[in-house]
Amino acid sequence: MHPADEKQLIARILDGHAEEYGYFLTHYGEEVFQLVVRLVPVQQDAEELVQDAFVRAYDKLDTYTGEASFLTWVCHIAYNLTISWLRKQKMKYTSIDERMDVSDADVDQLLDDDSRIQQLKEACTQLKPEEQTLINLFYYNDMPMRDIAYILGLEQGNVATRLYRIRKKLYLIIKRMEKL
Amino acid sequence: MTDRALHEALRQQSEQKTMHLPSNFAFNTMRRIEKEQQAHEWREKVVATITIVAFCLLGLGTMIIFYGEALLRGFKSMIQQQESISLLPGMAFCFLFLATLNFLLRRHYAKE
Repeated sequence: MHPADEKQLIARILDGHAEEYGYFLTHYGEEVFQLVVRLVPVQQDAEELVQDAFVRAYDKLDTYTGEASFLTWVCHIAYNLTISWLRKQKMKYTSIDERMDVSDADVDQLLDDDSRIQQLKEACTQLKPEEQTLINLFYYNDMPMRDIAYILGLEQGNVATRLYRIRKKLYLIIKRMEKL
Repeated sequence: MTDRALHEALRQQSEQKTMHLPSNFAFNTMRRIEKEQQAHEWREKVVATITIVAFCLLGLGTMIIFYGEALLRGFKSMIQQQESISLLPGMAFCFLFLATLNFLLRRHYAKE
């Protein structure tokens, strides 16, 4: 749906046609769910988080300014809820000393090497939720940097910097896995 | 930099997960929204009622404290004078007329 049409639909919902909110649930529910389920791989928990996100979006619908598409806006809400939920679970993630000196050429080579796919899959699961979301949105969803920055609540310039660090971190995780 | 292997790893990882939203997700969420909206409206009504009652009691209390004796005296003298009693039906009619008007206007604008 075009952003202008989305804004019209939101205006109608705010005008009392609450039942039309179902359109967003039907069309965007699955996409938001796929974002959440990458971080919370338990069906019931992920489902509840997505529902919470849509309910919160409905409650705050009058604050939606249209600076991002409705889907990006709901993803931002869902992402924040998921991160808070994960913090409550007190999950532990791999910490890596990212100051270690690694050449960009080595990182590029490793991330291009098809024989490393299995190792990369494992390494990705050791990243922090924020990092996992960022690389998934960038590589898998092909989302523009502007939308990624909006969902993660970052400055657009920071997204590229973080991406650079995550690539290096993946390289270091794989090297450490090889040593073990 | 193409990060081909990373791309593929993430694609495989996503496709391994076969979880999807249930088909009744939209229905359940709309029902929850409706329930929460009703609860919210009910809370608002309760708060409004409590506020109105509290302010009425406060106003009444203030009137009784400051003008209680004077009002009582005035009321007593009104009852004692026959002419004043003749004003009561007119006052009752005015009160009923204004109350009906208030009710009708509220009903009319609440519909819009």
